[in-house]
Amino acid sequence: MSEEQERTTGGEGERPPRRTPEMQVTKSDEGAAPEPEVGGVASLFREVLPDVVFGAEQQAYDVALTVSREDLVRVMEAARRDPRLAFDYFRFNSGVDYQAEGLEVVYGLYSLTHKHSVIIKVRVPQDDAWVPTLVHLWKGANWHERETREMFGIEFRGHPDPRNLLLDEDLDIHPLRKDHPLAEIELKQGENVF
Amino acid sequence: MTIEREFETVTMDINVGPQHPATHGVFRMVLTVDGERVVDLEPYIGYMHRGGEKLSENMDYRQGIGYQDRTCYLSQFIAEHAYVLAAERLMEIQVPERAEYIRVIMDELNRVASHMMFVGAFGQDVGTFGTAFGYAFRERERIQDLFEEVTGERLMYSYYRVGGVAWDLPPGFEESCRRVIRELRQGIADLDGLLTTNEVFIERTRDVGAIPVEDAIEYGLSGPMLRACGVPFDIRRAEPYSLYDRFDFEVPVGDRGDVFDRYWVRMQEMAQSLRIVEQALEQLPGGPILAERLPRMLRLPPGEIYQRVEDARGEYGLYLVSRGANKPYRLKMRSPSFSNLQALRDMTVGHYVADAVIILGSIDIVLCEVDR
Repeated sequence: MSEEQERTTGGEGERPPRRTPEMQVTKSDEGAAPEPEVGGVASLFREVLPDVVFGAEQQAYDVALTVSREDLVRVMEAARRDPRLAFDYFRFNSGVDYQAEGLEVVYGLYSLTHKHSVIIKVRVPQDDAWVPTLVHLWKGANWHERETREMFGIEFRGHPDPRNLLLDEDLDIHPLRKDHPLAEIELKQGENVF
Repeated sequence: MTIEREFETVTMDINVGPQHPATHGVFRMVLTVDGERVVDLEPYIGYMHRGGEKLSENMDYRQGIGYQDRTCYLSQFIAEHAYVLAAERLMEIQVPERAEYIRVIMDELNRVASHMMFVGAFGQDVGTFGTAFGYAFRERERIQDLFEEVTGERLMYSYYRVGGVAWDLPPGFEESCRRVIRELRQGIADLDGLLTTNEVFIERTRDVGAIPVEDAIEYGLSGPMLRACGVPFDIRRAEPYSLYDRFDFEVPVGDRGDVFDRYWVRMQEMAQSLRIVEQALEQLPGGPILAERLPRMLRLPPGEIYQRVEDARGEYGLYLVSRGANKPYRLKMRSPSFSNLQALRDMTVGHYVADAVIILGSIDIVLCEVDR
């Protein structure tokens, strides 16, 4: 019983003191410091690929690396195949629409060998929205890329099966873009309205 | 000159679904069969697509909790947990211990209820008809009654809040929970006797739909699907969230990665979940159930977070992008069944048509959650 109490109080002691709501909002200063010293995974990537430029930031659980579209396949191949990284488990892939600042493609990877995880982000411009496909590296990327393609209009070059997945087969809209309205008629007598 | 001609067969396409009792929801697949063998399979999803990610971008952080119930109608609490954890982590709110314990109890009971649903429906797929279904649903009903007692709801609970839970447990909850655990243990033993050692059940499920472990990992399978292949990957253990580092539980794994192992892993997991609930009841402290001094309108500081939890089906993850507003700028839901279902073709090709239904059932898909 005493051991139990000790554990409970121990857990409490580890947590940071509570903050007031005003203090909470001042947390983020990402972007201001471009080269912070973040987790082991970022330095591992830099060690494996010394000539690639990575932007790195620490998220709540993961290290997020930003790479350029040109380097993406090299980075991902290294992430998959290099024994120091060995990211064998494909968590997810999705997009974020930052409007004028472009579209972001986000990949979540995990290594069951080394038990580490990483988020990899690529920014592409709205009017030139494509990234190379990664289906040849992870089979699991297939549906995720199809979903991101239809939802954001990001082309995954080299994808073996770039059809719509969740939307109607012949529907050519990108609902998760910010300029797509929330609830309006999208299709009138077979013609796309947007 | 005579040519020996082999017996020629013609392949045939069979459409299954979208409305079919064997597809567990609105799901369509086109089977290409050569006689009784499946030579190709093409799944079609999206019939339940409701634009949940777009809707979540237009709901504030309190409304968004309710939407999480609707992503997976069998593990609602766990999905809610992911959402509130993501918000709490970004806001750096400290949640009262009691609230976290209540959440763990609810999550684990929810897992048992979900697996009960699986066992019942799966028994139906395999061909034990009403028997397993009836037994499993009797057990599930006990948990449903508990949930109803706590939340007032049977399906869409909306019980968690950012910073805690909505209200405290009703009086007498601990006793009724302990009683339910006892009854569930008996119920699991009944189902074990009914299915696990059933000759017909084993014949129909052993070595059916096996997937090699490398493929399973590459597809991003998670939960019981991956653990059936022998990979002890459980988010509760690999990246502990909430209070899961305080409990003593095992992560059961299979060895062949076939349909039987997936069933077996889920049966073992139910027992482990009950163990966690018992420990949580034992340790359950008193005190507040909601963090104090929360603003009326929750605004998350700018930031990004990938919050993952162990759903009844695997890894449920939320990629939340906040830009300081009272709504998420972007909320990606990584649902476990979505990735699990991708492997359906690889698992089914080469098996009999009759097994295709069992293999699909063994994924334990919830189409609501696949399509979002």
